[in-house]
Amino acid sequence: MIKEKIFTYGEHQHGIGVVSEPDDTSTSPVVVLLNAGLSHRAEPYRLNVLLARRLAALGYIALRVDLSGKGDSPTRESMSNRESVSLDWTYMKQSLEILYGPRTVLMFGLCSGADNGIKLCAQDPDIKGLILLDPVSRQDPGFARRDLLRKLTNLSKWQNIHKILLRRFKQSTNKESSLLDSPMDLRDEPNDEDMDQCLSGIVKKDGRVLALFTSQTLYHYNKCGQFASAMGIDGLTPVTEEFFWPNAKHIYPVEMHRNRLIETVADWADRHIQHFKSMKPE
Amino acid sequence: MIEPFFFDDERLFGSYFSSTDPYTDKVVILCPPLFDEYRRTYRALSELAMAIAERGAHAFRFDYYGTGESQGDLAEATIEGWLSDIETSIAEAVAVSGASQVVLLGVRFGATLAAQNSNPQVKSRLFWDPVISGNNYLDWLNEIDQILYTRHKAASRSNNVAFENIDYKNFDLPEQLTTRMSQVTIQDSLLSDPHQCFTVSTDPDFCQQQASQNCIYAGLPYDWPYYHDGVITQKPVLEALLNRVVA
Repeated sequence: MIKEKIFTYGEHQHGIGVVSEPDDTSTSPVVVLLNAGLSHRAEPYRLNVLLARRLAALGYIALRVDLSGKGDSPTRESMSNRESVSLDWTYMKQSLEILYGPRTVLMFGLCSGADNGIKLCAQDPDIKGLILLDPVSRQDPGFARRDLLRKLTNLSKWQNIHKILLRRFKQSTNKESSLLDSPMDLRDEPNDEDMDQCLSGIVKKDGRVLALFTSQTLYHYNKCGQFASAMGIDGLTPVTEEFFWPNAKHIYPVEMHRNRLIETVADWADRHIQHFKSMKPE
Repeated sequence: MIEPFFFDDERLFGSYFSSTDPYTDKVVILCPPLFDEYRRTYRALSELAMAIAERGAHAFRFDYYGTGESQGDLAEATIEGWLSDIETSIAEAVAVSGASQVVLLGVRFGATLAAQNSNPQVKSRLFWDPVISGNNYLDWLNEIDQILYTRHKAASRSNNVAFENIDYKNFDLPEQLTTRMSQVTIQDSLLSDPHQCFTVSTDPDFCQQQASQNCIYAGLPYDWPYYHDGVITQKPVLEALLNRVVA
């Protein structure tokens, strides 16, 4: 049984999380598992719990935590998401340092969790690893060609072209639907500066990135390797591993997909733990 | 204020919501639903627990072994173990709150499990869309798997990517669990006894079918298998449950 304890943070220690610990925490890097969208810290489908315990078994200190306004942590009033997440991280880091001292940190996040991980990484020199599930990705020069080819060779689309055109027409005349045109519109995604600062920082810090993409990202990502190469940052590709699973859905509702995800993350984390342990916190 | 902690030799995870009324003798223990329904109702039940505490009773939430933040895997879970977890949670909630009057608030299969409990400290039971028959519940779970299969197949066609021939199960449940689950039911005598039980349903026909006076339809229908990928925030249900707790 992995040892776990309650974690609190914030002005009044009302922010809540759970830490999974390895037997020996003396040199362990810390992985922070951020909320996926509005989900509770354990979710989706208990993924964060199982993954945190797996990472702890490998030697990481794994913290799954509710940001303010999510799960069991109370909302901060009168703050933008960016401000609130940034303040949350300041307090979380203080609480982590009280427990374990300064540590190298990795951020894990799905969807808006990935967005928040990138934004925090852009600001914090101690964040040296990223595990990103369906993060935003720039399009490389071949994206449009590959996307067009995928659509042109889609027999199902051709068979239903009349329905597709009718739906497009209805959408174009219904302005209210525009909010839902792209799921990204509902996310407070990192801007170009955040992306550049975070990922060029990762290269400078000799950090590591694992990025995994599902069918949700097909409209901006369609080739394994695109995420790192499209950033145009020298040295990013060698420190980045990418996986593209166009059959999996965004929140991994199928258990076999979740198991594959956990195995992939655990394998990557295991291969890099000595590297993260060797890094000194700033 | 929420006070989360591990109990039962660190096996189980629970959260205690202390009442604003320090003199209350009542603690409401929330028996959560399982699997995907746990995810969907998490926020709603968290808000309900907080509202219960603000309206004058203590509230206690917990996760069954192998689910949520409790220890263990689903592969090790058993119905008998979960029934025992409810019993352990009653003892813990009574100890932490100092209350002696226990209300079990069960949601979906959590209601089915709560219905099996005969602890004398339990003064009443509140159910939200209780699963009357474990067999029917397994049919619902299979329906979710079928919906997942259909939606993945449609997506692979629509996205023009090769379809993966795998098991499209939301949760791969061990046979010993499903076999025992199929045998669990809620007795009519309990469901229709206004002194023991009150039900809030999102099925417009449920109360009529049960011919039960101690049951209300909350006013908004909800199809549990169909909406499996959403999050449920049924305010009318929560209000109805809350009113009953503080009645």
